[in-house]
Amino acid sequence: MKILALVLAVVFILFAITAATGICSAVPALGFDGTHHIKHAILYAVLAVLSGLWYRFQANAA
Amino acid sequence: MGRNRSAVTFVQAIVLAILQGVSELFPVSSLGHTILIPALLGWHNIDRADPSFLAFVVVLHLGTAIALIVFYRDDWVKLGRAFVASVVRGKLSDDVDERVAWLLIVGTVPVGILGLLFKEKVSILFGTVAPAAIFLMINGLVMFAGDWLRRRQHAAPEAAYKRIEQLTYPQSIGVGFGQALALLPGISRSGASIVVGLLCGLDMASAARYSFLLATPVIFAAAALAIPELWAPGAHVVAMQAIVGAVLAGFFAYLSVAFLTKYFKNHDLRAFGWYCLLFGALCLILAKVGVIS
Repeated sequence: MKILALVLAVVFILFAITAATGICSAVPALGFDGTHHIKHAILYAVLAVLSGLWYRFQANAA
Repeated sequence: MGRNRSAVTFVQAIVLAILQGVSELFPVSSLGHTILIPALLGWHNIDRADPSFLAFVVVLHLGTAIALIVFYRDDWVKLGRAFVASVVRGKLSDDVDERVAWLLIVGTVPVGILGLLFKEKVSILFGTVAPAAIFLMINGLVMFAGDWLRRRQHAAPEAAYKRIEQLTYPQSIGVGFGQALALLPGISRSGASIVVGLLCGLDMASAARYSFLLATPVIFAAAALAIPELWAPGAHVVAMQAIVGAVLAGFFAYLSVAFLTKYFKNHDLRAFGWYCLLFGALCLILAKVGVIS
């Protein structure tokens, strides 16, 4: 679970950067369609923070 | 041009604000009602896609969210403190408030993801009278299912009921997915999440309380993220109507949540089920014969 939390955190950070910069507008299924990208970036950044906290909880519980 | 066609009149602002404040928390779908009621009243000047109307709706949602925060202010202070404590500690404890805070966060994730990715697509596909009326009838059936579950639970001993903090994280995600069904106009956010809460073993009052707590960050975040709509090109919100709308929406949302938290201690969902079924059927018939569109 610790690894999963870390992987999710990294993936969501990448998604947040991608959504914020609009460098990947060819993946509309993930919301990268060039519209409302800031909202999506905020969402992915929040999910990245939550995944990071999950990783921290897992690490401290071990 | 757009300004003349879609500017909300003062009377419309009052009606829409009361409608928003009440139907956001009653399990009858606010989104469905903001489609069906203007259609019934023949308010053809309202274009739901117009920036001015979207900006007005943002203001109403902010009023509703603030009312919910005020109503549950003591809970939110306790939950906020518990959340911060867990983050600082870097470890989860057995504290009840901390558990509920994280259940709410986890439960908010599904609607956050689905809402941002699919809300606009869903509103384009289903944002007309007939689909909203059909989904409202389905919402009524969901209420009856929820009531059946509640009555089945009444046959069980009191110990069978769970407290909110006894929910598991997957169950909270399930309640969150129930809440996400409200993206469909006609399906109630509180109704769907209350029914999933009942499915998870909560009693009626706890399921309703958890539903309202879970709705608060979602409504607030949705409104906050949409604040830029207030300054969008073509958005012309009349200040007086916006202020009156926000205050009325907040006032009626506060009254609604105060009423419903008491109501669900002794009553079931059937009244709302009948209302959704009958009102949905009426609107569907009127839409089919061309009276409303």
